[in-house]
Amino acid sequence: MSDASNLRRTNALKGALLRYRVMAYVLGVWSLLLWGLDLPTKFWAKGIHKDLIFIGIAHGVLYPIYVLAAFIYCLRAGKKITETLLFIIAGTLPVMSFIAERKAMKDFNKN
Amino acid sequence: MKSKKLFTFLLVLILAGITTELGVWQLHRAREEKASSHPVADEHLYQIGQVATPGQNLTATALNKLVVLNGHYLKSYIAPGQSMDPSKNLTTEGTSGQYVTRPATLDVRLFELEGTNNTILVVRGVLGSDSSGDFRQSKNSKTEVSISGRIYPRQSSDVTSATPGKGSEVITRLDPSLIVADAPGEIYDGYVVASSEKFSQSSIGSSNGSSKTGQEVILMKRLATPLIISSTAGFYWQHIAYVVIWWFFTLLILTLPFYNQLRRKFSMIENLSSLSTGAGRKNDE
Repeated sequence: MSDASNLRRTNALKGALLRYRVMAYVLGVWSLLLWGLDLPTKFWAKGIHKDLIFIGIAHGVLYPIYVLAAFIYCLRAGKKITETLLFIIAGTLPVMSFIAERKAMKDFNKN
Repeated sequence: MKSKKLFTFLLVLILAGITTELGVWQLHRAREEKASSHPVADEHLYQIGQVATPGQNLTATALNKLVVLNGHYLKSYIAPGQSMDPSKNLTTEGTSGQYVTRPATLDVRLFELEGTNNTILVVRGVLGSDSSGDFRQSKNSKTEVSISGRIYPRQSSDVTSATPGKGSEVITRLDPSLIVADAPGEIYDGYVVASSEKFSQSSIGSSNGSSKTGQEVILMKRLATPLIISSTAGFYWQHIAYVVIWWFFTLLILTLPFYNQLRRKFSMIENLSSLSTGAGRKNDE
């Protein structure tokens, strides 16, 4: 592989990683809001839940963006299909996206 | 090799089909939410059996429907402390009765449908402030009655506490589950607010709430029958977001068989040991 091609791919990977990290943090925080505020009030404090409905809607919008960012990052980083699926699923659980982001950074620094 | 490809093809097809259908399901739910947040006055009169099933939860499609009931009253109740807030989830459209903005006592009856032993809760109207004086159970309870009114979902929380002394005649909310023991058979979910009653035997019925049953005249005001607006209109966009997610997953699933080719094309990893061939890498070099 030529140096130019290598540099281009490295830059592409860096860009994909940055986008993934941003989305992992944003979605991680939003998942905490979803699991910590939106879902409990849905069952135990319906009066308050009406005012928090935007959390679920925003999570629904953010999650596809996260999935796209994770998919592109995994492609660029040459992740196996199972790892890619785990990165995607990490966006559905609170805290897991933070852990996935740490792993992505660790892998990038190792390589 | 061929069987593996066939298996992969079938798996992808099934998963893509499932996610597509889940997207369609969410789309339908979004449409239902939209329909319930912008209710249209339906002037068609339905038989209760057309919009609801006894013993089962009332569906969203049954809400705001005008129904006709034929049968007779079985038992009477009073529901004190009931009020309506026109600004809250109710439209002023399609109402000729009285808006009860202050807590009032309602005359509620268990109604047995003709030819079956299925029952439904019917709100006949508003009793006066001295509810004990106005509240009378019809002496001729087997009188056939034809009722038309609007169907509403059951109330989920008590609006008042049961008053000692009045016993089982007092219901704390309009909920058929409270009086299920009085029903001879299956009971319909929700309740009907009567806008008119027509008695068949030596009686005169009218839409203003005065009914003559031969034995007594019961004077009361009919309750308004406004349309219900869904209080969860914001969920429309949540469902739409889920539609996007499911269909996005469909796209991802469809790309999975080509994942390794894509990985070869876009990845910068030198040695992709998991790949079955090195053709992609060779092409790159």
